[in-house]
Amino acid sequence: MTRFSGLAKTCAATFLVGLLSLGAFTSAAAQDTGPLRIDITQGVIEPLPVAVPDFIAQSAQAAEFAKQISDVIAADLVGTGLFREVPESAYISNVTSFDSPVQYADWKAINVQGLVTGAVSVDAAGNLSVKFRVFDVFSDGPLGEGLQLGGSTSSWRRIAHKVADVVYSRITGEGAYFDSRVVFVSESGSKQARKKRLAVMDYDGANLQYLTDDASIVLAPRFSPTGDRVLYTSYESGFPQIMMLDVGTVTRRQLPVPTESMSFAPRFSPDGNSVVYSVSTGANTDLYRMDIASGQVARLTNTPAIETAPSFSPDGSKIVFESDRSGTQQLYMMSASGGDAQRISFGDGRYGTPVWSPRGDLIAFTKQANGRFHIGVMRTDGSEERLLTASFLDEGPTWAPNGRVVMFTRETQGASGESALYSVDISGRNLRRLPTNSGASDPAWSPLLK
Amino acid sequence: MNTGQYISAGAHLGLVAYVLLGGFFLSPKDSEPVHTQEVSLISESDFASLSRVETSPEVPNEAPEVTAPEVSTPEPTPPAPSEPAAAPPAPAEPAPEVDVTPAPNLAPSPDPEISLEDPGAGLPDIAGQRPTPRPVPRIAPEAVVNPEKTPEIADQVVPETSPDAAPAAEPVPEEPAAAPQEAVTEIVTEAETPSGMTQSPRPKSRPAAAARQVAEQKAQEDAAQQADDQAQRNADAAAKAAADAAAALAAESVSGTPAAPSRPAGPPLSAGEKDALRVAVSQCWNTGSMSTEAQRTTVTVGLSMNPDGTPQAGSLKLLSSSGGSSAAAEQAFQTARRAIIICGKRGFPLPADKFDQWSSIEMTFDPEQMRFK
Repeated sequence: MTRFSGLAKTCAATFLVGLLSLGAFTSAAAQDTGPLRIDITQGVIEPLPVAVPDFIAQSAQAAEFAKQISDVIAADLVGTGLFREVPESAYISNVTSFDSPVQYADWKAINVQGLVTGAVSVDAAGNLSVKFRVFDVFSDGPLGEGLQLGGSTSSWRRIAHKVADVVYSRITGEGAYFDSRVVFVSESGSKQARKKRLAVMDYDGANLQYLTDDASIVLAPRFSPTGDRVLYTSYESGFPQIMMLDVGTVTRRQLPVPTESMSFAPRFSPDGNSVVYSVSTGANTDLYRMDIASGQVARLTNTPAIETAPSFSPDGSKIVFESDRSGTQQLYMMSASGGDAQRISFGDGRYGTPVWSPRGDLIAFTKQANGRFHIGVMRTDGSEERLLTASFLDEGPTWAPNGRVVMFTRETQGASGESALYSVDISGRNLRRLPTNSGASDPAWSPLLK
Repeated sequence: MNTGQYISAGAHLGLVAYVLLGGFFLSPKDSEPVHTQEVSLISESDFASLSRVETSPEVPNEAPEVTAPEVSTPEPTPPAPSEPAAAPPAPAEPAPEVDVTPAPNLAPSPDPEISLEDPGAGLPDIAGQRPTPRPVPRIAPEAVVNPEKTPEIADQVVPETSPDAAPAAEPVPEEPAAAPQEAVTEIVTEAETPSGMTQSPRPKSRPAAAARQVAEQKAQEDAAQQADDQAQRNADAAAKAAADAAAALAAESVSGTPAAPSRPAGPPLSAGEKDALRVAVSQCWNTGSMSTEAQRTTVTVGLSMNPDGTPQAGSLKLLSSSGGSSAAAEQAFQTARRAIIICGKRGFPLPADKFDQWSSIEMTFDPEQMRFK
């Protein structure tokens, strides 16, 4: 009996000790009061509310430009899909003077997060001057310093685009792309007898200008890194040949490529001094590189397969291109001087027209799978492939100067199908059709204008 | 002597053998009396039942046949009780419909009140309301996100006129836009209430602190009676929480644990309460306009809170960042800062009695999962 009672006491004591130590731990945990730590991994993706009140006209001549400029700025920002404009009807306090202090509370009340104010003046010589400020309403302060831009009254749209570029960059922290142009192939006529001519316009479709007539077919225009020249493929001679056109003077010349072969798919190197392109002889197509000044040509690939659509990396060290050497059309990457190539596309379907992002982080491409076409992006090693669009026919991506938006051609089905230019954010959101007065294809986005 | 010992040993062995073997032999005999016991049980309990059993041999025959249906009938039988039970739900179902209509009415203005109202509204009301409000607000925020995405993808046509129309409608619904956020908050506070109740007895007793808390809560009650509905609801919730906490503290003080002189920390926030805060901040964390680099940058923001659940605007600071440049970190910080300020201007849904647990907060914003949304 005594032995058993002793054992029972031992057990009870052990139990109590355990219970007490447990209590000590919990009380210690309860008394450990540091800052509360919270991990936020989920958010929302929605347009940021901004307000662009009409700029103040500081002279009678400036009145017509003040409203137009602020309208273009707002349209640029809203067009990105990252912003939405709070309409003037919602304003509590309006901006009456460029230098008057901002009533942050009034803008907070209508949930405006970014505010752009500005003033426009036109001097006696007809020079337009625009000054503006950007405000982070919920920080109760300006976002960067005020800026002033000047130019002729005829270039008011470019000035507005430049203002929008600054606003966009300051709010998003990203490079901008509003002050840029797009060269493309303007199409007219039926699908069987379609006429094509080169055209260039502002990124938003304004200031359309034709660079060639529609006497011969033109294809695949590409801007030079400075935006002053355009390479394209012309059938002027009845045979595809590479032409180089000066955008400012609209004069063109043929690259010194042997005329007995078909050359096409040209693209500038990042330094603008050389051109990489495809040459087709018989059933074989390979990549070549030509120094523009000397006309010296180097062969980059030498396989029985078809290699085409080359595109340089922004640093000029590598070239990504499409090839069917594996049996199906896939993307490959090689040194800019040629040599061995590594395949980077491994998904189902066929990949083509790779274009390296100006930021260097992504490659945009056309993908054909299951009877549909997609525009997609992938990292330069082929990982994280992401399809942005899907339709009957999407092809030919080109990058915005900031590497965040991709423009491409979408063609509708059927004999009456028409092609048009679309842009989409690399997140896959904000798909938009560009306003063109006729069919359009093969866009190439310029860099930001100087 | 030897013979006597042998006789004794033999007798003992015989006795042992008898006990062992006899036991085995007797046990089956015991089973027979069991039958007699059954008979006795039947006869003693109900003589009348015997007669009934005799009269109803047919009934047991039907019964086994019925048993097969009975196996199926257990399912009908639960419905049968459920139908009487369904009678209370039946009024409950119209009740939700009624709730749906007031929900929009309440939604625009007194959203934070609603969240506080639920703890204060009393348990029976909550029990009745729970089934309905939960599906409504939860569906709402998700649906809000999806329509935004799909129209954006579907929008292939000229945007310039449509955005004008869209924002034109938005400035007015801005407060309604805040309303769904608060509605979500409300849900979590419902989940929060039981968890808070379960954990309230946990705090260690601090009689002095408890007295101070109760005094504060009484002061809040007094103030609440004079104030508007919002304040009343706040005070009700706070008073209720205080009463619970005081009861728990009193119970523990009876148990004899000595009081600690430190500040009242209150119990740690429950997972539901943390989720409520997380959701509340997430509603305003808009990663869409962040640069691509900032979308790869994780930032940790430190802030101090006011007792009413609003952040102290001047206290927000960037504690650390990883994954991007300083410019990207600054932009990510500004985005996080806006989220905290905008969604916190009406106060985050935090339990007032645990203020010391959340008076200082560190929020880590990791946009990794948002990049591919």
